[in-house]
Amino acid sequence: MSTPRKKGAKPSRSRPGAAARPARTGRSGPRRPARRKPVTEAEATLAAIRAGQVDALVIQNAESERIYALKTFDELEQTQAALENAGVERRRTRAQLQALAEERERLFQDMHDGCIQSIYAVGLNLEACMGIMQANPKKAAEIVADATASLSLVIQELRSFITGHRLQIAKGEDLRSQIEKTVQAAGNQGMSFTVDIDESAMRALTSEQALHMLQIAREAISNATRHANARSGRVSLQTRRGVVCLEVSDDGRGFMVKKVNARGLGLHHIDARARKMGATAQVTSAPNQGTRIVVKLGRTR
Amino acid sequence: MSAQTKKLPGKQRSSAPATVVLSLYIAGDTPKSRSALNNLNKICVEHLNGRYRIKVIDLLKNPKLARDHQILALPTLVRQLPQPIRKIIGDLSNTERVLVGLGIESTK
Repeated sequence: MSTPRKKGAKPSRSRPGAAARPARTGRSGPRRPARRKPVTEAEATLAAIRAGQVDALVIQNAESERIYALKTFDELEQTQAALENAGVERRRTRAQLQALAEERERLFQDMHDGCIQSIYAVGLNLEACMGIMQANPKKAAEIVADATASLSLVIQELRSFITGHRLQIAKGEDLRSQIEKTVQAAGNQGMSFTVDIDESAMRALTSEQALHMLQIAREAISNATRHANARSGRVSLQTRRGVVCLEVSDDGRGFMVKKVNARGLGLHHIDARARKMGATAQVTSAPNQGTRIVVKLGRTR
Repeated sequence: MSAQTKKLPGKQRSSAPATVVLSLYIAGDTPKSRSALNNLNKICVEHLNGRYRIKVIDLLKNPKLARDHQILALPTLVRQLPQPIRKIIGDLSNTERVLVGLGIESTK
């Protein structure tokens, strides 16, 4: 009789939210509205702001709550936009600084590969001149005249640095004639170079690329005369399957390529110039085996 | 019969519909807050059949009350009961969204 009932239980009061929570189970009935992807409060707030349904925002901190009308919020956004603009400006300045640094690097290269090489060549020629002055004064006079002309070219180059004009292959001359001039200067040192330049390879180069190629060739030829004690060498510029290939080789005493210290500033500049025009430079050498420098430039104009 | 009195599993249990307790937070008397209150009244009359209480809280008068429900934007409607608490931000012009947000099944 008085046995307490354990079953049957109370009416459901335990879960007040249960009845009002419609579609939380995995099995939503066919009549229920389509389930929405749950959104965070922040997302819902943003959506409402975008829909123009919000009057004000509440900013809470430990001590107080402040109500900011959206007009104020607009002002905040404007401030943010101004800050972003300042960021853009700063990035632009940084890019300009970077461009300046590159320009300076280029000037150094041009100085080294252009002016210094030219002056060096003049010096070598004059040195050669000393040896033949008595035996062949006529030839000596020619060499001196050449040297004077070369020096005036160097002065022109230096002026171009001062005025900020980029170094370029002189008007009315092309890569071939410039390389031949360089080779001729080397010839005065008793070194014979053969030059093999393909017309189509020259045409494939932009003027900037041609200038880089010329400076690389100059550097390589100058190395062959100054350091390698070479007797003969070869300069070639060819295209093979759209790849322009500059090759300068000599039969000089060579060096250990792996000894990084042996790679003087000149080889460093060859690398840098090649990279700059998107080409690769490869130096092959070994003691008493001569030196070969190959620069390959793919996909030209 | 016996099937009807049988305890329904989990959340689908049918019980006497609980009163829905709502707080509408607003920032003064603005077109948006007025529209929110009108929309809310309309929805409650249509769908809640008298089982609701609405409290309007103007935070311009007492900003500290925002703390109770961590209100971020105004107007915001908070369903306090039945649990869990739910919030709907904006002028409540999208009836379907309000119904879903409040967990009310629309009566056809």
